[in-house]
Amino acid sequence: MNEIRDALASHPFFSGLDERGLATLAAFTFVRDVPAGEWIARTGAHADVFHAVVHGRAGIEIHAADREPLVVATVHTGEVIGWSWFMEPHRWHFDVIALDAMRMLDLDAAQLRAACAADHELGFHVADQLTRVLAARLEATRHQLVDIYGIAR
Amino acid sequence: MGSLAEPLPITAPDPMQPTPYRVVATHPESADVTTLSLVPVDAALPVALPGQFMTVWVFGVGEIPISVSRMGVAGEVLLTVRTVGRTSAAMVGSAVGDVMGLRGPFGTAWPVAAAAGRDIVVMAGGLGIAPLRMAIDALVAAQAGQVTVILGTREPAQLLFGADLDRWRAAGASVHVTVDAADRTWNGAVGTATAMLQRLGVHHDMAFVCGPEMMMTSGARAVIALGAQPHDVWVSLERNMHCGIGHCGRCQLGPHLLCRDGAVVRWDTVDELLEVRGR
Repeated sequence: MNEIRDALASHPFFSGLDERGLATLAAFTFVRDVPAGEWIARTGAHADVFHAVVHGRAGIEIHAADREPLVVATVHTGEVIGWSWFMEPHRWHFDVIALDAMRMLDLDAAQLRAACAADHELGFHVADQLTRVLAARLEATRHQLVDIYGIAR
Repeated sequence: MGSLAEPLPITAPDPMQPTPYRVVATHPESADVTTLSLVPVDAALPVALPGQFMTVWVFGVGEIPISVSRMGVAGEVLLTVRTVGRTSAAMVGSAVGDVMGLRGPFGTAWPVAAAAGRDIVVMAGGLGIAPLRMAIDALVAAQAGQVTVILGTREPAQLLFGADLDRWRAAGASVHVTVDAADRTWNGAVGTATAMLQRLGVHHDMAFVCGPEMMMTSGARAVIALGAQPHDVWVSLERNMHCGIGHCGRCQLGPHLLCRDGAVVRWDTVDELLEVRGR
């Protein structure tokens, strides 16, 4: 348990949490090694795990029937995968694949949501960090949307 | 406006008179980007400093401003151009032996000397790497302070100057490439240059940023959020530059004439201007 607590404490997403918060999370966190090429999430599947990347690289993909899968973002060491677990209907919006061999901290999403509801200090920390992730992804999406490296029209 | 970079003196004998240069080599960089190597037919123009630009007259087509990508020996000028309109298309489609008229060099330069001994991040977006090439060359050659290069581009096939990236890495620079989208064969990061900077998460004393304005705004603010002082962040702004000597007014941004007062400017002198729609 201490090993997981230490891994959580050293991950940027959870840094700043107090001992009580770390102990709460450690109770439903598991270390998982993922080989390159393995799916981490599939579009539409139930988002029942929150993944924090300890090391490695994952690709967030959009897949359409008439074209090859397109990686629209990569997630790296010290970052987290996904927010779909946090809000209903708890379904993944994208495919996520391990591009390298990865180690992740997997947190049970249902227990994490319950812990956030029961402990608002923990809940605020998680919501605050997730908002930062969402803001960065929103900005990246905006840049992709306007194709900033394309020719101005 | 003393808050901008000090305008450099125009060193060409007659800045409005094109000087003939001949294309001696063409280097396709990607599907729509080519670097032209030009040498003077007779007398050479003055040597361009990192970040300065020249205007290129394609006879019978038009004249456009192009940042100097690199200076060679004996007056050789390397210009990297992307097909956008008629004149740039004519440049990309030019052949060895073609003659064009060059004016310049014009504008301000990246303050490379001020970076001595300081940790600096150089952020480039797309073709914005071209005006930064000579600056990065000088920074890594000086070997003073850590040099970090972040290059963002639309897709792997549009990545420019791969050999330069390798050379800068070999010289000790920390070089990071990120693309807007890729397939799974891309063995790098996907996301914005700003996201890459935030991923590195380290303070830099100074920053040179060049690319689309949206990218520069985002990048400059992120560098400052990580601890850089706004007056140590420099960006390269382009408008509709034409005369190159601050007379025609086509490149005006607020009180600045960017062909003369820029293109390289201090971020804290322009950040509010870039917020104004239509400027």
